[in-house]
Amino acid sequence: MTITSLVFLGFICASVLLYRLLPVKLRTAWLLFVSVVFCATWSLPFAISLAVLGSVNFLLGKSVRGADDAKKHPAWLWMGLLFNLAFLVFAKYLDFFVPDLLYRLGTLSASWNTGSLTLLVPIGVSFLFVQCVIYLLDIYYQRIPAQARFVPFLVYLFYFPKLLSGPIERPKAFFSQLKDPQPISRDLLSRGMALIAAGLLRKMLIADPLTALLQPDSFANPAQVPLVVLLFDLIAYAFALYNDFAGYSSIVRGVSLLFGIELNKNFNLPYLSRSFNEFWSRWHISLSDALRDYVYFPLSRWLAVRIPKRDHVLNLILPPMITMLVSGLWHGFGWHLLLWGGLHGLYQVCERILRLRKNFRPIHERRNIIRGLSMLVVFLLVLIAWIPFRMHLSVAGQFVKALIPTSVRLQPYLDELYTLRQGDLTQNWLLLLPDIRLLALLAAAIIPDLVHFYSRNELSFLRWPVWLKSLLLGMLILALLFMSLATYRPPFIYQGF
Amino acid sequence: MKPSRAAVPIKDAKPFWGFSVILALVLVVIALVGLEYLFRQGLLAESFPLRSHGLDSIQFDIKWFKLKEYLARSGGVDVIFTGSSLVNTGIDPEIVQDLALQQTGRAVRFFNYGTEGLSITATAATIQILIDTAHPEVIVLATEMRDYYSASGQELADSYIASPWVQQKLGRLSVPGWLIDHSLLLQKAYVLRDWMQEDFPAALKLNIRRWHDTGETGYEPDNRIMQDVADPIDLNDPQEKASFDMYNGFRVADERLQALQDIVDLCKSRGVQLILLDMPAHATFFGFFGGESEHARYLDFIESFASENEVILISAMPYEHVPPDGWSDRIHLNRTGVPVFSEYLGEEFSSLIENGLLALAGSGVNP
Repeated sequence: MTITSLVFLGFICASVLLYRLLPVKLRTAWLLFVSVVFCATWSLPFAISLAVLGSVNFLLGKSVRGADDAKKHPAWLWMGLLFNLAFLVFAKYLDFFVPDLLYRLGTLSASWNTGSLTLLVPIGVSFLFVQCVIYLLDIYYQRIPAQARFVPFLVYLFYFPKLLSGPIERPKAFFSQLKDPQPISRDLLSRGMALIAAGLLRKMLIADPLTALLQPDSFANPAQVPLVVLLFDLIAYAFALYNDFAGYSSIVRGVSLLFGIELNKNFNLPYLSRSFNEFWSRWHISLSDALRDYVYFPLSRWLAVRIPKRDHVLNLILPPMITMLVSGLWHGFGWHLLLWGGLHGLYQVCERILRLRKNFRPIHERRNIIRGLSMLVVFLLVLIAWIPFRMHLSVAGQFVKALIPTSVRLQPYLDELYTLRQGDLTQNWLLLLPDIRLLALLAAAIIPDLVHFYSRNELSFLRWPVWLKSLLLGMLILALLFMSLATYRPPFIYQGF
Repeated sequence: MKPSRAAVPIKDAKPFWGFSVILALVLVVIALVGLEYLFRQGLLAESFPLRSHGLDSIQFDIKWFKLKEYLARSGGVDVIFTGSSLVNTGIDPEIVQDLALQQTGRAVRFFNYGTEGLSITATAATIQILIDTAHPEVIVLATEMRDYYSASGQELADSYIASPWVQQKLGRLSVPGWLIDHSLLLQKAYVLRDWMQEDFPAALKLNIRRWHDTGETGYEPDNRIMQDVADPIDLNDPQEKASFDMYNGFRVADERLQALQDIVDLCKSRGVQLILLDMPAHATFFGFFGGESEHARYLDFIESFASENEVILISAMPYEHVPPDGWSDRIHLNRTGVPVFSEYLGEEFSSLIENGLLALAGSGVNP
């Protein structure tokens, strides 16, 4: 059941209605029930493996601290961390390692069907991993007590709006909301439905068409694609990825609000960031915050104790680099993802070094033109980092090479310009430029962000005149109805993590 | 005494999302109804004539609406040619009709409903829909050796049969099916639904051209010429090698035979005469199957089938009658070859009419 389907809409309506009608003490159980149903629509074995993961972590949570919460049991913590890591590695490697093993077994005339095994692997396993680890660590460091009841704990892990691709929720805040959800109100309904509408706009009207319009050759055989087309495909990919994930996050936040539970905001105009520090406080915020609190800060403190000098090279390099490498690994076990993480680590290291200068001024104190330039530089560097994120190393290398404006790459354009100067135009010039539809979509893609930027509120449109809201909402509904007819529907990109 | 409630000016009232939603839905309904009305009044009818039922084959839809226009103009249809692209570009009903009129004095209404890419499984469903909608007296099913391979075109057939509109026309009613069948707006939207696919602009332009190229009786001319059609198949050519690998050795898949039997049974149950037509192919075509001996086995099969089921079989015209430049490939006729074959068919139908074998109204022939 995908969250942009009509079936999901019906599912939500029924779930919310019954949730609100049930007595408060039954609502948590109801949330668990609908979450299990949601899991089962993907696959029943998937739901079973989630139950196993949940049960083990629940018991580990109780063991990490003593019954009176006084004594820490590091052995149980380590066991928990290793168990979750093993689960993640198993899940991530199933699609990667097992086919290779099967091939080798096949040469020995053994046969094994992995179809049923793949069904055991939960979608969104990387998100579940982080949530389980955070839960155990928070108990160990006494930020929260171990959850006494199994049902709320399972809801924390498998709450269906955030099950597939986050946001990653902190247990303290989530349990508190679960115990005392916001009552239904006009404001809650307004914000919930507005977030859902905004999410559908980003996903179905921006991300999906952009993804469909990307030339397959751009990310498989980039040398065959004209230079300008390749560049715009990269930009389009950046916006497709952003709107896909931001759209998903907005939809699930909206859905969750209908249950009275506010999930973390995951995106806040990341492509308008003026530094990488700022970028990582605006992009996939829930993951960035988790990495900051559970990798970056602990590592920084550990290093600071051993190397007190703040501007020591190890203090400057290791925390951001290791944090970003972990982020790369979280996305997948691949050299290209490590490179992506490493690039962002490098960007942050460079920023830290620049901040050590005597005459350094923070970006918000600089002139507008400098701030604007910073935004552009950050965007371009993020764009470059998306190259290894999107493709394996060998293709990424070809992509970068194909982006360099050498005479060979510029020649077709020069030939067309020459022909144009002769007063003629060949048929090929259209092939050298990006698709007009792609350009139009890119222009449209920046509108929601610009509105957010100038109004400083992602839901500022709630305050617009009624006639304008109705007109735009009507146009959105018509567009969504039309888009629902399309045969090609790209899946959510982050569902793969 | 209770204080009176002061009226809240509308501009200061808290935004009520619900009212905006209701107003938006009203606007949506007005827009949908308005667009439906405008399209029914002929908005963009000339520049954007295409309509679609959401099927993978836009060509099916072109044929469908051309048939509707034909029925409106002619008051009905007597004989419908069905089958694959061989029929679509291989038979000109006007030539058949003119020759039959010339030789028998009978005005018989022929229509070409050949649709490319549809295997015999999908054609079975199409024939049922045609019988229920157009009420022909005779269905001519053009068939050839590739129809009986299970791998050939099955995916397209499955998706076609499962589509809401086809299911609706086959009697399995649904709201989506009903809407697709009746809403001109939805039919127009379906044509544009894949606007974000890379090849959409070129495909749309091509399909509009195909609409205009397809004649009033459903025939779509093919202008291509295969220069070396007389050369044997070349197994060094990857495409020809692939075809050879797929078709080598004639064999009939059970489900394809069943589809053929279903067509016979359907026509009998609906009182429609079924005629089988073996389409002409250049002799070199049979190289894909392993040679003339395999073709002979196919002919034995189809002749036995026709005889057992008491169905008239019109044999293929000898390929030598088609001029060398009359082929667009080894099995499809082009604009030059079609008149020759259509005249042949005209002769065959004239003979059937004169011998009282064609079940037309007033002929007294029982289908």
